Parts: sequence; C-alpha cells; structure tokens
Amino acid sequence: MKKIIMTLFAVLAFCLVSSAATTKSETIVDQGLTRSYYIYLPDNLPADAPLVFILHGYGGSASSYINNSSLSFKELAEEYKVALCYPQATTDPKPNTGWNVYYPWQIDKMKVDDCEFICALAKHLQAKYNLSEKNVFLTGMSNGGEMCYLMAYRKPKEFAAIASMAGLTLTEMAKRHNYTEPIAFMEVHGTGDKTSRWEGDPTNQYGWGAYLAVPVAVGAIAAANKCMYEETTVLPQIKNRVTLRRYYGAPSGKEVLFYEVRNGGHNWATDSFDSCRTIMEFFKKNMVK
Amino acid sequence: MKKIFYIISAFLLFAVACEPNNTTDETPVVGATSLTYAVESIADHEAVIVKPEDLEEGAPVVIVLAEDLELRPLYSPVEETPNVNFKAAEHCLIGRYALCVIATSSNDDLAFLTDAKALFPGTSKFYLLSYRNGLSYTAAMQMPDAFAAYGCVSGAIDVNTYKTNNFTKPVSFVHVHATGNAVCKWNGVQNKTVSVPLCVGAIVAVNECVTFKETDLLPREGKGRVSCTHYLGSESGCDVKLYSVEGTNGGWCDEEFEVYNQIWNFFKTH
Repeated sequence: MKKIIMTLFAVLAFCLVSSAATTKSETIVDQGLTRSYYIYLPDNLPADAPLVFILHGYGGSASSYINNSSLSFKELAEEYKVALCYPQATTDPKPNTGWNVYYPWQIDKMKVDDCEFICALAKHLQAKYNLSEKNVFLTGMSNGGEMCYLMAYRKPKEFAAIASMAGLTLTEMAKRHNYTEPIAFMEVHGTGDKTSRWEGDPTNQYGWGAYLAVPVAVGAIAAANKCMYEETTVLPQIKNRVTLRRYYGAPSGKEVLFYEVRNGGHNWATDSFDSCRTIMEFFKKNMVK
Repeated sequence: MKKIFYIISAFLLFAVACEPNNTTDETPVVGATSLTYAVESIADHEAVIVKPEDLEEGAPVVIVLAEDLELRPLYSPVEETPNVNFKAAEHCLIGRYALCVIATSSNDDLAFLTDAKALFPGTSKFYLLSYRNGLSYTAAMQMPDAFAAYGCVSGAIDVNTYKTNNFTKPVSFVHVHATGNAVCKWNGVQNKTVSVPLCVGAIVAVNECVTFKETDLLPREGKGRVSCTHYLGSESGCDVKLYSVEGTNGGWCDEEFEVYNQIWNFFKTH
C-alpha cells in the first residue's frame, strides 16, 4: 500500500513538474565565445512553436529582463504558445554589456557579430526544442532595438517580424547596409526620449554615434517595403497619447507599424499602452503558415 | 511732384508683390511688369510658355505638368492681351524664370520632357513641378538627373507606377498637399495613389536624409495651419520639403500660404 502511495506521489509530482513552464539557463559556443541565454518554454508548448527573441538594452542583462515583472512576455508566451529566448550580450570595449551595433567605440574594436550569433542561436534552439524554423521573431529595447534595425538590414529572411522598442538606425548601419528584402517591422518610440532622440542626432552630439531621426528610420523601411497607404489611429489614452501609423499595401504584404508615444521616454511605454501584447499581436499577425 | 508719384508707385508695386505672411526674402523686379505668352506643341502635348517680357536668356525654367491645363481657360491666343490673372504665372515676374505649362495625363511617357527642355536653349537650370498628379515623382524615378529639383502640388505617385519603378538616385523634392484633399487623399487612395507621407518618405529614403525640422508657417486669417517638414542631412545634399496644409484645398493651396514663393525658394537653392 505504501509503495502504491509513493508511486502515486511520484506520478503526481512528475505531472506537476511537467505541467509547469520551464525556464532554463543555457550556453552555446559561437564565434569561439561561450554565450549564455535563458529559454522560456511555456506549458504544453506544441511542436513547431514560434520562437521570440527578446534583447536587453545597453549595460543590461538577460536575467534582469526575464525577471522584469513589468514586462508581461512570460504570461503572453503561455497565451500565445511561443518560446521565449533572452540572450546575453557580451562586454564591449567601453566596457559594458552591449550588442554590437556600430557604436563609435565598437567599430573595428568589437569583433563579435551579434547578428550571426542570434541566427546561430535560433538554429540551435529550433533543433533542440523542435521550434519553428519559419516563425522566428525579434524584439528588443534601446541597444536591443538597434539590433532590430541591424537585423532588418542584414537578416530579413531569418525573421517573420521584428519589433523595436526605442531603437535607432545608426548612420553607420545605413552606410554599410541596404534593405534588401521586405520585412514586417514595428517601432515604438517616445517623442520625449532623451537617450534615443526622436529627431535623431546627425552630428553625434550625444555620444551614441550619429543616428537617423526615428520617423526617417521607420520611413526607410516603409519605403523599402514599398508600402503605399497609411492609416493613423490614436489609441485610447492611458498616460501619454499614443498614435499608431500603419503603413500597408506593400506588394509583399509586409506592414510597418509605428507607435508614436507623445512625450514618452526611453522605456517600453507600458504605462501608456499594452506594448508587450501589441508586440505579440503583431508577431501573431505575421506568423508564417 | 511727378517724381514723388513715381517713387510712391514703385513702392506700391513692391508692396503688392511682397505677399503678407511672407517668410522669404523675395523682392520683385520693378520694371518687369508684363508677361509674354506663347503656345507650343511638344510631342503632341499642348504647352503654354509664360515669361517676363525682359527675361534674360538662359534664365531658369519651371516646367509644370498639369492634367487640366489651368492656364488655358484664362488665355486666349487670339487676344492681343492675354489674361494674366494666374498667380503661378505672375510669380515668374518675381522669380525671374520662365514657366512652361504642359498638358499631360498620368499615364504619359515622359520622353517629351527632353523635347520640352530643347525649347529653351542655353538654359542650365530646369525644374519640374507636377500639379494634381504625380508625374514629377515618375520623372524623379525615371530621369533623376534631368532636373535640378522636382516638386508636386496636390498629387501623388500612381500606384501602378510605384509597383514598376524605383527611386535610384537622390533628388531634391518639394511637395505641397492639403491633409483634407478629397481626391488625392493624404493617406493614399486604394489602387490609385500612394499616401503623401510615403511618397515623400520614399525620396527621403533614397536621398539618405538623416534628420528633419518642422516649421509652422504664419497662418492666414480664417485658414488652417500650414507646416513644413524639411528632411535634410544627406551626403548628396539633396533635401526634401513637405508642406502639409490643413484643409481641403485640392489645388495650389495659394489661399492658405504663399505657395509659389515657397516652391520657388526651394527650387532656386538647387
């Protein structure tokens, strides 16, 4: 009898464990470096589930992002049935943790190619966890947002959609690369952002390197996609006024969504609208069948 | 007494020519008070050429492509004194340029523009302006080196043209458009015209402009807000200006602001 009870407990415990979402801290060797990341696999994740990369900002960490309660990605992952991956950037020459996006101190000094790293990681996770090869999505904040633009330039075929939060196009990116493929892209940006300035910084006055005005950067993707029409919607106001400009009608069907957060700062704008869910909805809409 | 009369007359002429709300430094050339008109046929296109009677040879030429030749109803070639009540034409006197208005349709092959330019030997500066159509955008795509600058008033890129053509070289471009234009809508018309910000954005992108400046023009009484977004900072030096005019004016928007001066000031800097 005792043996049966023990067995039942063991089965119950197994069931409880197997029904809980899994967060794992893992590593991968890429370009000769051991790179760390967190993978979050929701309960009952189906085979061929989408994979969403979430990139932290400059000086940040993957651990602070996965534990950030103000970001609802983990809850949304359960709802939308997607796997989340939070990669960790390496330390750049400054030295701070950061993605290599051609900041002045990174150019010619930072050898790691983070675009290649993310793509290699995607392939690794797809094989290891039986995730979708078509439905890979990318989002990131600030320096992570810059990676979104760089990926749109360099690896548009690797992602079904990309969403940048407070990201920038550095002029160095625009000099080195062209948009070669249409890409479903979304940007959320505060007009009062004092770190990644709405109006751009053409002369590198603020030290991040010269970068494009945000509307110009977003417009470049809309132009590359050949979007033809625009629809403007003001979202129900919670804190700052949020205006969505939807550029659509491209031959590829790839849309560009541009959320202008009036007087918004350098953040995820979660106090003004449900930005995390908006990103997930955007990804869902651009899911490849 | 006669002298005083002449001085006052000259001053009045000057004052009339300088429009109110003027943010420019344009001054009319006193003395050149009349325009000459000529009707030409350019590769099956009817054209009217207007210029100040004393215009120097080699002066700049603004070619205007208009589907409904606005000059036509106001000008009768049989009359000895043609009607000059056409503000765009009158501005030739201030800007000191020739205006060549050509009747076109939106599907036209733009090869005739080469013939049009040939009518003005010795001219080095040609500018192209499309009125109520997007042919200047088509020209910017197909012949980016043909004009010193391009402009569009109340028009937009034709959707089919955009599908089959690309902007390949930087060009300087000015666009004037009312946000409430009911025909050529600001946000685009399905299967007809591209959204105005996206038309402008396509040129901003090919020019590789990096930043923009927004300026509100002084409003005219009873008229809506007019703002100018100036995209600049490209290595080529090619810039783009978008004048957004609050209201429904589907024409020149000359009731809302001194549009001819603004366009000409943009052109002459290129």
